[in-house]
Amino acid sequence: MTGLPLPTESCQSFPNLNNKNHSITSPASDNYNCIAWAFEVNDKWMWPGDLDSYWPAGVAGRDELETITQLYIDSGYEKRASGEREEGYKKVAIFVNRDGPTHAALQLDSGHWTSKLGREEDIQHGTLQALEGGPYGQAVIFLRKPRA
Amino acid sequence: MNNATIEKQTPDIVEASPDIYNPIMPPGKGLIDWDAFIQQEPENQLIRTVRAFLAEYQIETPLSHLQVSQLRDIEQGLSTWVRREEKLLSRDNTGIRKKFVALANRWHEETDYLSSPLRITDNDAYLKIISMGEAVIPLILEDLRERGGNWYRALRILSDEDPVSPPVRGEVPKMKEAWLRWGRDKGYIK
Repeated sequence: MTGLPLPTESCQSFPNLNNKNHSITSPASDNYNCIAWAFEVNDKWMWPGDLDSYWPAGVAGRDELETITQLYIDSGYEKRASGEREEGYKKVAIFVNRDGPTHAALQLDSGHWTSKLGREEDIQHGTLQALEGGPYGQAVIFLRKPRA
Repeated sequence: MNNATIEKQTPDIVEASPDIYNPIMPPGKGLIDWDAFIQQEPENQLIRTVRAFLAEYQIETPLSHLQVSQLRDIEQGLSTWVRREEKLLSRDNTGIRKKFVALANRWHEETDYLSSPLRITDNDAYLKIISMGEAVIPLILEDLRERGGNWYRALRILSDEDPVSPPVRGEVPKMKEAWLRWGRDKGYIK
């Protein structure tokens, strides 16, 4: 993967992340988070039920995970069993830990993934496992949508 | 500390022994025209300091009526008081700032890669900052301006205000500017 990796201290938060399995693709920014980035939006911080975040009216579910999943379903995504690349489709993977949803990643044409790490950088990473096992937990919800 | 005898004195500035130290008069000077001095420089730092000192010790003599001899009497007390106040002020400010910076650094380190606002602001360091009270509002605004981050919940709690209009929620640059403008209007930051 071309491009610089995150600084070592940032990688330490993610046990499976190393300087060979990811690269930085955009600088740090407060303007958007992972949910927005996976939704292909880069000018809003998105989170359901939060006073300091944007959430589209009418997108709701029984809990945070269901509400976030519904965001993508309402825009044309459908659930799938895994994050394996499927020709002609882009995918979103939603991560959860014991406290609930934590992160969303978007699959690129190449099959690699792109993630916005909170208010820190966007990175491209080869696998979902690169971000698993740490504060984000595991990728458990997978959705696909035909590429335009 | 006794109340001084009221006896108005409006002498001119004269040369005096430099050994006579007085916290109000310029060094090496003796009597001055107090009325003129106070009128010309009502906000002179020393005048304000002396007024505060007199108020704390409940000395009722008007500032303009203080005589040199009276000033000598209170000189020791005034000098000690000024030193005490300066020490308290600098120690207090330094302590608050140091504690805030340590907690803010920790908060950024522990949460900057998170997306959930609840998890970002339910952080131990963040909650400890809130518990420091209103004194940290300027420090939070400075950090917001320099580094960014979701300081909005802390600011709402500490100020009991919210300058962010609902239509721009989630538009971080506008939210940030709303709070920084609020901070400038309230005098917390320049």
